[in-house]
Amino acid sequence: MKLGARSGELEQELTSSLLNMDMEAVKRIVRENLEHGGDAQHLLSILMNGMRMVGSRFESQEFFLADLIMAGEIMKQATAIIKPHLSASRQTSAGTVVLGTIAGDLHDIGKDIVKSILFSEGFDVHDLGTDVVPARFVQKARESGSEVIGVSALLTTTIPRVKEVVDELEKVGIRHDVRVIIGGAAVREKDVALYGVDAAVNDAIEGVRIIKSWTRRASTK
Amino acid sequence: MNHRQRVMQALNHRQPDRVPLDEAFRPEVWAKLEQQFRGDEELVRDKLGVDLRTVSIDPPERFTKKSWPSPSFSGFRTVRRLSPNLYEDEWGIRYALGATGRYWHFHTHPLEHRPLDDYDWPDVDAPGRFDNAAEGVDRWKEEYAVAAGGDIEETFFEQSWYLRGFARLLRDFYTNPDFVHDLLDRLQEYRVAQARKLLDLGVDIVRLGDDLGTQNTLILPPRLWREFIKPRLRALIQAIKARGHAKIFYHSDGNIRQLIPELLEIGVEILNPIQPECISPEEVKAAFGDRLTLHGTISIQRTLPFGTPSEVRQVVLARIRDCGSNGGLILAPTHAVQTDTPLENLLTMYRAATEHQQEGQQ
Repeated sequence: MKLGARSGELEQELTSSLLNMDMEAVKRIVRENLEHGGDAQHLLSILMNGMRMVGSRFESQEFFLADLIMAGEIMKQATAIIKPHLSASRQTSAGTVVLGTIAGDLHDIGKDIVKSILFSEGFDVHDLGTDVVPARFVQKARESGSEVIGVSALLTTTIPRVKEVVDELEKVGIRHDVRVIIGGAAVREKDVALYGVDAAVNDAIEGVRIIKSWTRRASTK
Repeated sequence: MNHRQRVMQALNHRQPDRVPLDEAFRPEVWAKLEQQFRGDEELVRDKLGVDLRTVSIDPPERFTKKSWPSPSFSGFRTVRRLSPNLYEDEWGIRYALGATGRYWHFHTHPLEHRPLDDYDWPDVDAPGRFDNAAEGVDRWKEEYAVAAGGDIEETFFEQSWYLRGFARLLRDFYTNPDFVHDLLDRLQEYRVAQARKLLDLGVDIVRLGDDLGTQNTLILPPRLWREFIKPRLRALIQAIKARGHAKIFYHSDGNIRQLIPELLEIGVEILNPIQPECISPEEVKAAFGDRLTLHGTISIQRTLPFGTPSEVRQVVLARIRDCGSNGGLILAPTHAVQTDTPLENLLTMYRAATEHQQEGQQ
């Protein structure tokens, strides 16, 4: 990218490099632009918008899990280059979410899809990994001030353990401050009532929509 | 019609006397069934009416001598114990058990940081690797259809990411394709050698597979599957077909509907597990039923854990009606049945299938 290249050209080149999963091109464009006095916030906005396009192409099945993970990796590396150039006041977040796969369950593909999309939407995500004991979700939510806990469970035998997350939130007195969503292929609508969670979904994209609606509501309070 | 004839009839797209049955259960479920029938696994299979037997490629004698048998691994891989919660298989892949002690997760991927040239591949010819499989074929071949599995069922994509790490391998497809080609070339050579050994034993079915689907869609973009996996799968199947008459079974969880025509094109004959919450078995039967045998189709995410016995029975009978005409259907749970499935549901599944005589038997 040449110095003084018009914003439209920068946006087009950066976005198409991201959509083509060309990590080296994205990093090069970002570096060169910053070296020539480019606006870090503008670069981040272009990439976030590109990640939304990745998310929507994943939703329409034009892109696949590997694309989503690769785009997430590109975004992560590009953000690491951009972040030092952002002023503290401009490092805004769409919200903070704790994610993890519940104790006894080691499946993480669904969780990772949610994480990638939340990241692309500007959320701060604390990923606790797999096989996470219920109290750990709550501990991390308290430490990070998260407004949402996302619990992933594929196995039908592990889904009921989400109730322990809800009970722990009650126990430490922050149930009203933190919403809990459970996601997984075998999760059912009636799990909301069964385990006292706020939402239960089979679909990662639907899960992100719900989380966004909650954090939008939270931010207008 | 014995078990073997029933399966062969179905695989050759002719009407068997009843739908053939296969099994997949968690170790805890096996224990419940053994208690129910007061016998060992073989008696349970007999009581349930299971028509297939599966033999497995093992690690060699020198590895199994030092191994730690762990039922928690659900028969997935033979491992040896390195420390209280660290296990290793013969590929050098390390695992740890999760909080419940029932399920494992990956601890170390041997190729994550090591160059491919420094990696010691397992030796296909090592003594003891095919002894159990040979014994199983001899024991069962007259009465049952014998399928062969083992790590060959994680044929290319899965074994590659077990060795390299999931996210790392996915990134390699985009940023380091030469590495992926090199890894897959070496794996292909190994798989062909394994398959030839199995065919020499006289197995009826070779179980191949790779989990290529998520619940809704594919893990890899089809263009990457076509470039990296499909040609090697085709070559492996051609090598199997050149050596014997075994049928080609292919496993992939999730929604791989988009790949079915191409799997058929390269020689897949049996598709497992066709999870009904991901792909419609009825639609697959209608589109490909003259060439493809559906294996599985009874949901472990819905029907078996959450249905009533009456609902289980209805699903089984509907599946036989909609997908079992002219053979081409082997009923089984869509994965290992989990501990929360009521035993009565499981027994109902097998009872409903064995009691139902199919019309139009040839």
